[in-house]
Amino acid sequence: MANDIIGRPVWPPEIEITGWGRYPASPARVFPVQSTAEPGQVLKARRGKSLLGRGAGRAYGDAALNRSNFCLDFTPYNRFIGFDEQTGILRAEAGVTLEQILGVFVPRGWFLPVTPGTKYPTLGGSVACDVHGKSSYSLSHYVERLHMLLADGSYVTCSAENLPDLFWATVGGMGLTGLILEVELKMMRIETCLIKYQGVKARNLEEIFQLFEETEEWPMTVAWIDCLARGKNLGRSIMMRGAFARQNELKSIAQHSRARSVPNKGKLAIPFAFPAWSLNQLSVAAFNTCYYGKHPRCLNTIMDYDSFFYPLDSILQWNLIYGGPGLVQYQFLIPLEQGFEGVKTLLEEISATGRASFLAVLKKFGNIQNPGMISFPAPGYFLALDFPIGKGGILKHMDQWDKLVLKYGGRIYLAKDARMKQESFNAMYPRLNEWRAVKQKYDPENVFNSDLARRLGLEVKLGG
Amino acid sequence: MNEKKTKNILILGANSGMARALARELASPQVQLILASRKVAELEKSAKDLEIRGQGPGPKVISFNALETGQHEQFLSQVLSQVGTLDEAYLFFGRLHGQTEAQKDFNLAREMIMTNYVGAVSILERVAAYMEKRGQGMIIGISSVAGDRGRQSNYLYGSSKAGLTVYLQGLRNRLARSGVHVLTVKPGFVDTPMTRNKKKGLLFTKPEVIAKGILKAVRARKNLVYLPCFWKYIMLIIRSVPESVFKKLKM
Ligand SMILES: NC(=O)c1ccc[n+]([C@@H]2O[C@H](COP(=O)([O-])OP(=O)(O)OC[C@H]3O[C@@H](n4cnc5c(N)ncnc54)[C@H](OP(=O)(O)O)[C@@H]3O)[C@@H](O)[C@H]2O)c1
Repeated sequence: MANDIIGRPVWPPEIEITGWGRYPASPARVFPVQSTAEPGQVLKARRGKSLLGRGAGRAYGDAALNRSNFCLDFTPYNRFIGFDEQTGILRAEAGVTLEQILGVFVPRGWFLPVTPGTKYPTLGGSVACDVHGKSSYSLSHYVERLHMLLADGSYVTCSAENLPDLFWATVGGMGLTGLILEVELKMMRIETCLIKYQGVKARNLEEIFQLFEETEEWPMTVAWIDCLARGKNLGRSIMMRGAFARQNELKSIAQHSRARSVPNKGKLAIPFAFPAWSLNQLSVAAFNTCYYGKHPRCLNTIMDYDSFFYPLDSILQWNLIYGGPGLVQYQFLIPLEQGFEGVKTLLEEISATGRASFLAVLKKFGNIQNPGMISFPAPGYFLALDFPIGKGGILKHMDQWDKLVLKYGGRIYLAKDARMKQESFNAMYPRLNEWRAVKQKYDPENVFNSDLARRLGLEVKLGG
Repeated sequence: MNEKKTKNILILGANSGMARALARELASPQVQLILASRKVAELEKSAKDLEIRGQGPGPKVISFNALETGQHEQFLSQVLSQVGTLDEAYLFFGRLHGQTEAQKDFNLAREMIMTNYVGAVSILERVAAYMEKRGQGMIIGISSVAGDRGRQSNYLYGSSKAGLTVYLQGLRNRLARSGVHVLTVKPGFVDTPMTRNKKKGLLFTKPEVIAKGILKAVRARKNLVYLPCFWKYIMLIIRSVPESVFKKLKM
C-alpha cells in the first residue's frame, strides 16, 4: 500500500466492478495485494470500511463485490510456497489461479484433485466457494490447511484439526470469516493428463439418471441437457464421462507425447458484448451438432484435459455472448432421494416459461457428506442453467423456482447467485446458525462483508 | 540437481511487479538468479516460488538498497563471491511519488532522483566496470516513457528517468567496444504496485506482457525498446510537438 507525505495510506480510486455474469455492478476501492504485509496494512488503515478478498472475479453474481467499501485483489499474490513430492501437498498464496497450478504441475504428473468447469479462478476464491467439479468431492475435501488473517489482526492457521470451527465456516464461507492468504492443497497424482472419454446419448431424463448410476468406471461425469426438448423427450442429453487415462491406455505415439503436456490451443476472444439473442443460436447449434451430428450413441475417445474440463475456457470472455445487461446462472441442488422428481419438475417449469437457457448442465454428487457449514456441494443432483438478464423479467421466474427447489429440500449455489431472497436462503442452508455463531466469534463487527452478505443477511446483526 | 549453471543473472529491485514477472520467465535449471532488493523477506518468498517453478536450486537473495551508494561496491563483491561470475544485470528498482506532493515536499523529489538516477548510476557503474573488464555481459536498464519529455504532471519523476536514459545511452556507447551490451527499456503504463493508486485505462499493460517483451528484446540484442511497442509512436508524436506549443498544453 502506498503512503502519502505524512505516511497516511493512499487509497486507490473507487471503480465499478462486477462478477463473471456482469450483473450486478458495484463500486469499490480495489487494493491489489502483492506482498505479505499488505492485507494487514489495509486492515489497519480501513477506517470503518469493510474488506473483502477478491480473486479472479469468476463468481457470477455479487459474491466478490463490496459496495462503497474495500476489495483486496489477490490476483498478484500468486507465489508457490512449497511442494512436497511425497505427500503431494502444495502450499501457495491465495491468488494463484488453477491454470497457473496446472501449468507448473501437470508436466510433473500432478493434477488438481477437484476442478470446476473453468481454470481461471484463484485458489483462494475456489476455497471460499468450495468449488466442485465432475467428481463426488468438493475442493474442501482436499484442503489441508488455510493460513488466514482475521478481523482482530491476528494470523492463524486452521484445518480440520486446528480451529475446525473456523475452517469449516471458511470453506464455502464466501470470504466472510477472514482473508485467506495461503492455501495448502493435496494434489492428485496422474499417470497421464489425457482423459479417457465416453460420450453417451440419452433420449430422456430416465435414461440420463440411469447413466449416472454407472459411476464405478467413471469417476468424473457430467451431462448436457437440451432444455428445448419437452414431453417424452424431456431431459434429452449427452452424458460426458471420463477418467484420467493410464499409460497403457494410450494408443498412439502422438498421445504418448502429450501425456504430460499442458494443452496449448488457440483461444477465441469475444471482443464485445453480443446482442442477447446470439447465445440461443450458439448453444443450440453446439448441442445439436453433438447430438444429431457425428455423435454415435456411444463415443469413446482420448482427449486433452482442457477439452474435457474446460470447454468454455477456449472462448475467452464468453460471458459477453449474453449481451449488454449480463447474465445470471441458476444452479441448484436437489437431494438424491428427491433427485429425479425435483429435476423433472424444475426442468418442466423452466422450459414452460419459454426462457430456458438452451443448455443445462446436470451432475450427480455422490453420497459423501460435506462438513462445510454453508458449503454448497452435498449429495444430490446439481442443475445449472444460464439466463441473459435482458430486461430483468427472468428474476421473477427465479423466485418461483426457488420455491420448488425448497420444496424438494434443495439449495442454490452462492457462487452463481445474484438475486436470491433472504427468506429462501435461510430455509435452504440448515447449518446457517452454526455458521453465524462462528462469524460472530471471529468477526463480530463485520470487518469482512460483501454485497452478497448484505443481500442474504450473512452479517452479524450489530446492536442486537 | 547440481549440474553446472550456465548463466548468472542479477535482478536489482526484484520485488518490483515487472521484475517478478520477468524472473518467472527466466527461472530454469540453466539459470542462477540473484534477487536483490530492500524487502528481503519478500525476496525469500519469491525465491521459493521461483525454485518450484524453475525446478533448479533456488535463486540467491541479497539485500540491496539503491540509496546506500556507499555499500554498492561491497554488494557487488558479495554477489560475485556467491556466484562467481555475472552474465546479466537487470535494473528494475524505481520510485514514483505524485508530482504535486513532490513539489510540496522536496524529500519526495529527492528520493526519486536519488533512487532512479543516482542509485542506478552508482550500482551500474560498478557492474559496468566488472563486465568491461571481463569483456562480456549485458545490462538491462528499465527507464520510462516519462523520461522522453518533461510534462507538468510528472517532470520530477520524468527527469530522473531522463537522466537514466541518457546514462544508459552513454554506457552503451562506452561498452560497445568491450563486447558488453546495454539495453534500455521504456515501458508505458504498467499495472504494478507503482501505479496502484491510478485508474487503469486502456493504455495499461500487465507486467507479464512487459516481461515477455523485455526478453524478446534481450534475445534480439536491441539497444532500445518501448513496451508495448505502440508507445514508440505515441512518444514520437509527443516529442515532435514544438516547445512553444507544448508548454501551453495540459499534460
Ligand atoms: N509501473 C509503471 O507504469 C512504469 C512505467 C514505466 C517505467 N516503470 C519503471 O519500471 C521499473 C519497475 O517498476 P514497477 O512498476 O514494477 O514498480 P514497483 O512494483 O513499484 O517496484 C519498484 C521496486 O523498487 C524497489 N525499490 C524502491 N526503492 C528502492 C531502493 N532504495 N533500493 C532498492 N530497491 C528499491 C522496491 O523494492 P522493495 O519492495 O524491496 O522496497 C520495489 O519493489 C521502475 O524503475 C519504474 O520506474 C514503471
